Amino acid sequence: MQDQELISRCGANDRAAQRLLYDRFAPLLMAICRRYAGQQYAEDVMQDSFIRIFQYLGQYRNEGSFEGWIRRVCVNTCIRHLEKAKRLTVDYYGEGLPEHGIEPDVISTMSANELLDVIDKIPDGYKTVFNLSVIEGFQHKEIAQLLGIEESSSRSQLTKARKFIQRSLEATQKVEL
Amino acid sequence: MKRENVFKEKLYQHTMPVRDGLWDAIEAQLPAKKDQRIFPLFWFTLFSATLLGGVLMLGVFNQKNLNTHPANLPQTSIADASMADEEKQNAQQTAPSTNESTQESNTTSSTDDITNTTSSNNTIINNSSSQTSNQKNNKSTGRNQVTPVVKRGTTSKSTSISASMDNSVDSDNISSSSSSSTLALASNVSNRNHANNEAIDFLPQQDVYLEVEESEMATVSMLKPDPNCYKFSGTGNKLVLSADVYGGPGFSPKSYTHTNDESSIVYADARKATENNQYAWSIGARVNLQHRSGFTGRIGINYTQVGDLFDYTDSLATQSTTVTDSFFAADGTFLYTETTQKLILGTLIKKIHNTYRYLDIPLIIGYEMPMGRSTILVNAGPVFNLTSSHEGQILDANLHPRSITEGDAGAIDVYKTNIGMSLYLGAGYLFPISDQFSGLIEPSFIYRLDPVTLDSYPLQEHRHYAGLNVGIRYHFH
Repeated sequence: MQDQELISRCGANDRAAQRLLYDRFAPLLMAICRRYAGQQYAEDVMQDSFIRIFQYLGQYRNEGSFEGWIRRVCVNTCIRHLEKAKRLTVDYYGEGLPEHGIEPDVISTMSANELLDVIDKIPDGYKTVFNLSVIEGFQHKEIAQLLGIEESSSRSQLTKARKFIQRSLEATQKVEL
Repeated sequence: MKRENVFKEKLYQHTMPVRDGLWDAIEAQLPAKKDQRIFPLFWFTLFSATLLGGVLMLGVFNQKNLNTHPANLPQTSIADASMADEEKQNAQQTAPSTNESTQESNTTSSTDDITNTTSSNNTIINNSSSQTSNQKNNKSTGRNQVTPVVKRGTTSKSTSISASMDNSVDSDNISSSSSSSTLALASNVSNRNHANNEAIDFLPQQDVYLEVEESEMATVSMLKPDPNCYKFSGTGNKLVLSADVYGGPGFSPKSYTHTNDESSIVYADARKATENNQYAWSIGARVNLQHRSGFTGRIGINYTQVGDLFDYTDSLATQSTTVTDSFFAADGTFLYTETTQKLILGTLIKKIHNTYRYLDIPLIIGYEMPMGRSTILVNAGPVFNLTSSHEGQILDANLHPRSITEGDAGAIDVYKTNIGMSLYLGAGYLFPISDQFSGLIEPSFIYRLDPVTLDSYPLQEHRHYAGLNVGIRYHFH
């Protein structure tokens, strides 16, 4: 079934079509929710995301890809969830982190799940900026608008997230050694 | 940076397995299927069909009772009258044609209804005035009262008998205390008395009459509706004038016609998703000119109002706020101005009550079928729109909420101000309240032939109306 037909039928509250859309996008949205909200809340946030998607599907304007629209709604839902849970508070865990980096090859050899574990360890405030910037590809201006923070805060949080990852990876390497 | 690209490469399209049962939890929170929109129409149709069916059943039941009830024996009386006519004719052939001889012949044929009619009326007069009549005369009194009613206007021969009857009744106490309907009632009662005349032997004639009238009144009115009870038919006129005032709730089903291109489909879906029918009602008045055959012409004015709820939510809405800060030195010297623009992400929710109004002139041909004291009516015909108006907001073709209220800033031109001709179909039930007024119940449907939107608009919207009119009819006579 083409996206357009699927959207049309879902808009008409066709359960079979809604299930089809769910089957198609649930694994992707689960991974997104996992990255933003963590393992504990991923399912709840994904559930909210799908309800919002079905609710506002009639307003999809055919601008950009349908998957992109769904991702955006899901990311917004994640941010709302974090705001509601007051998990966007910026804490300065990164003070005193080492400035030097580690070899990129280390990350290249890691699997997606291992990378997710690394991201999971980042404090929520930094993690959200890291996800939005590094993985979703948002500009700092957009992130600032989304999170209601200054652009400079977005930049600094990303820096601190990077440092946190470095330290985390270093620690992992030391354990392995 | 290279390291971050690895994150994106590995995680952007990363998927994770979803546990079974999660869909059930989502499905439980989704709104019910939109097929429910057809339910008001369905229930309306069901209600109308039930109402009409009930009325028809009542009519059939009444007709059946009319044919079988022993109190209702006009055919027998007519037959008797015919036989009497023959005998009377024979008598006239052999006797001089004078009133006196006719009365004489009537009197001599003592077993005949017709002859007894005359004699019985004479008896009543005698009885009421002098109380000297014998039992036999008293017994024949009741049953023979039916004859004048049946015979009236049937043959020229019976006319003379009727005339004598009328004259006698006019001069009688019974006549002075009874309407024409009472007389008809007495006719039926009298027939009953013919079979049970033992019960009224030896009683004063007038007492018998009144007693039976009271006991039979309810039964007769239930089973045999009396056409003379209410004078709506206007017996002497070919055309009868009446006026209806009515109103009631309804439902306005809406549909869209669009081209098969994607944007039209998306637009139609978005409109369906954001506009929900909330209420509909109509009021009206009309004048009816009814022919004796039952066909009726009606003309009037009808006002219909439909309310929709425009329910729009934009989860990705942004609000831009410009903040200007001016900085001054400690001595008050102006330093500089910093302007920042703040974009707030939020959810825009609009719940707007849209109103659509239509003023129509119905030109209807109807047929009214008497069903006992009630009437069943069927109506159909064209309805011409005088004007229509609209207020509120809808999504435009770009899926942005826009005003449709004429005169509003930024309002879009979507709807016609005159939607032309429509078709009216209705079926109803008319029941008497008094000599001048009847109650009216009429489920109706207005089918709009043309879309209510402008021809140039990319999405054609059709809007019809189904309603239940309840009102009152005033009979001019």
